[in-house]
Amino acid sequence: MEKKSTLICNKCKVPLEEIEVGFRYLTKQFRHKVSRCPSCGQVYIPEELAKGRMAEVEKILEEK
Amino acid sequence: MNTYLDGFKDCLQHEISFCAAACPFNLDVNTFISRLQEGRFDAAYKVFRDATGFPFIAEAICQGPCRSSCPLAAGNGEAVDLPALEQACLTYVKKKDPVFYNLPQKKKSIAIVGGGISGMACALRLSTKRYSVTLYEKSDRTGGHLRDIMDEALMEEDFERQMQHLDCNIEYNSEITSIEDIPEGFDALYVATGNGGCSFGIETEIDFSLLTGEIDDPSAPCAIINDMGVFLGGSLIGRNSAEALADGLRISTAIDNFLMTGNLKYPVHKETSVRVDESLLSEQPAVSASEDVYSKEEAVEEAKRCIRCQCSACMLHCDITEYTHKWPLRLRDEILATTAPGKSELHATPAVRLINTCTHCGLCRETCPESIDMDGLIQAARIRMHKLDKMPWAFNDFFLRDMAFSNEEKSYTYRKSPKTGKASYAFFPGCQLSASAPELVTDAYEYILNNEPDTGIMLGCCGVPALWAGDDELYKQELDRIHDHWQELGRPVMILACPTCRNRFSEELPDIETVLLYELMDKWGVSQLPGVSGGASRSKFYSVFDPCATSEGEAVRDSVRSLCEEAGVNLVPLPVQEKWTACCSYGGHGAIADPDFASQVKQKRISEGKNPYITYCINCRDAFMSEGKESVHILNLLFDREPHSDTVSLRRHNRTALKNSILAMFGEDPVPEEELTMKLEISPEVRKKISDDYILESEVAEVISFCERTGRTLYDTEKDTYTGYRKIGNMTYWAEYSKSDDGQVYTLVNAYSHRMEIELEMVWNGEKIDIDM
Repeated sequence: MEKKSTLICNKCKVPLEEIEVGFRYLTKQFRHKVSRCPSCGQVYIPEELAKGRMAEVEKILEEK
Repeated sequence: MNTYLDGFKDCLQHEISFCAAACPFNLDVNTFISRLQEGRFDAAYKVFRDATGFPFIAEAICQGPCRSSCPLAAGNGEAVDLPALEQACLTYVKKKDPVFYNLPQKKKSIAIVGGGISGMACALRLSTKRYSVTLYEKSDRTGGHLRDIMDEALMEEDFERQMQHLDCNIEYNSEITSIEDIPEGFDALYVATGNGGCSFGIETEIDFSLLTGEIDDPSAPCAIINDMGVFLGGSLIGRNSAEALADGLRISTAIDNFLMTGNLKYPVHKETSVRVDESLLSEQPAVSASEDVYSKEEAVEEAKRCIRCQCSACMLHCDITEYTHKWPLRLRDEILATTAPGKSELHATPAVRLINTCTHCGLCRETCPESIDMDGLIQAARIRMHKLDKMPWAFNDFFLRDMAFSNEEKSYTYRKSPKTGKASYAFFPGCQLSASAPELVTDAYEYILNNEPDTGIMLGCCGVPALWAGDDELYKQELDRIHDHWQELGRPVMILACPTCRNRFSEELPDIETVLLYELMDKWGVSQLPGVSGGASRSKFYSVFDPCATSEGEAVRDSVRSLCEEAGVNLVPLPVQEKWTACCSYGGHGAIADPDFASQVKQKRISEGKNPYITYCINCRDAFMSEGKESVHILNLLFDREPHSDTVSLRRHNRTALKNSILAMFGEDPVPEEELTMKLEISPEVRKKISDDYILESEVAEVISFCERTGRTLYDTEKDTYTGYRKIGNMTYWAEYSKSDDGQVYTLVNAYSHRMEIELEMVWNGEKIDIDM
């Protein structure tokens, strides 16, 4: 949360917003809101998300 | 897979305990005891009553054959006093009365001749099932010969209690001497007329060992007469009192079966083939009762002495069964479901991770009394999953890329001897020793050349990562390459440093003769080596940790111990490892599929010995070192080289450096190192962190270079750092970095990865225009 406030898109120089992004893993696809540049769409996945909830979902999908 | 499945038919998991087999009632002793161990006397009573019908009578007349069957009685031990525990159970039970179930009345009728204990037991069960039961007793009271051998009041009380909710018609003073005396309308008949009683022409001299329990068994005392299923039992056919009671209960099931199916199937007593691991047996004496009956506490204590005999070899030795708490039959079913064709939406796939977790140490097969090969089944399952395209790529991706690097230009080579230009032998150090300790490979090769100048060398990997990934085609390609190059070298004897490579060669390349390096060293002598010369003596005590791949390698185990002795090492045996060689966790490459399992296995192996370990598989050494356990490879000792733990990136560099040092022996030019495309500074902490996450520094450099080229980064205004990502192969890597003022030097702040793909990847690569917002 703290990180989010100080991050801007380096291309568009605007703060990030929570916007949906499409994800794909193995045979499954889904959409989820993550930090994104509202202008160019650049995505930000912080380490806590990658190693936390995202890893959990990966684990679930691997077992399906 | 079917080859392996057949073995599971012999699994002893469901075999009953020795005492249950000796018990006339086949009492489920393991459940009975487990309830007593928890002090649950009412719950234990239910188990006992369900098995015996009339629990107080059973307790009074049973002669306790269970005691002589108890394995604790072997040697100086004492059998669990099960009869005393049953007595305690009946003493402390509060809810003695049966529960009333309001079941609908069945239409079939059954006649029972004989109101002794056997007839009464049969009447009890059939009435409970709501059949219409008529019992003919020649005298004016039930109980038969029991009245002569036990307390009559206790017997009558038990009859009364257990039959209190039942509707059973008892015809006293009704002697039946021929089948015609039985009124019409009965569908089945139980003849329990006692010792020397009327058998209606059916043979009463029974050889019980001939009974099969099959339908229409000709040696069984039963027949169909006048459309009635007629069964004999109890002391009429030579049973003792307890057996007669048990007969009555079992025949009730046979009659029920006959009435439903028309099949004559005489029940048999259950035997057992159970095996118990000797390590579970103790010689702790039986608890003695302070009064006539055990107190509650004494009963619980005595019950706790019971080991609840069940074949548990696999549960004791296999790391997977211990970790999952699942028995092999359940694991088999889960593996079958997981590898069945069809989408996962159609059926559950519970064993995906488990299949990729097995270390393939083979202990399941070695310790199982029936040699059931779970290891083989799981390996076959890996191959099937790969064929069905169900194998999650992430589990094996890193290891396969590592194997590819080992077998490509920057690491791989094969050469004849630099001294003679021939190769009667060739040294195959294996991919992991080359990565973890290239200096030991060059030391060992020089040593070999000094003893056998006609020795060539082959670097690279034996292909086992492909096997563990289930990709048998790739595995075969790797083996074919080894075989072709071995032929080119002139079919030398291969000197292997890795026990796993040795097993792969023996199984898959049988025409290649192999020998393990350590056996040769023991033969050739090591007195001149730096770690041995000068009569080295070491104050420390060590334990040899035998790699799982040496389970059948007694020769190498002896050689390594002999080498240790020469190196002045004081050895303390590892109790577990001396008998069974378990895996350090590396086998099967389960560390990515289930890191918790790998960690638990490492910790378990470490806890088996307090001294530092000497290993002769580099993966064992690395696994233990990664958990902080002091460990050395035998070559570290012999060549007096300090062990070191390197990052995944440095391990690649080591392989290339090794190849170059071999090329230098032949005066050939080195291959170029894998170099980063930029000047990238990484602190030791970050270097270790990303290595632990299996991230290569070259991958991080590729991410930064992509971010800089495309400008697709996020800027942290406070930290003055840039963050961006790049998908390389299957993985998506993120890097947070800072730049020097001139933009020439980058400093990595953090890096991490995820398996999930961000679909925008296609947009950034120009394959899609819509940015999908």
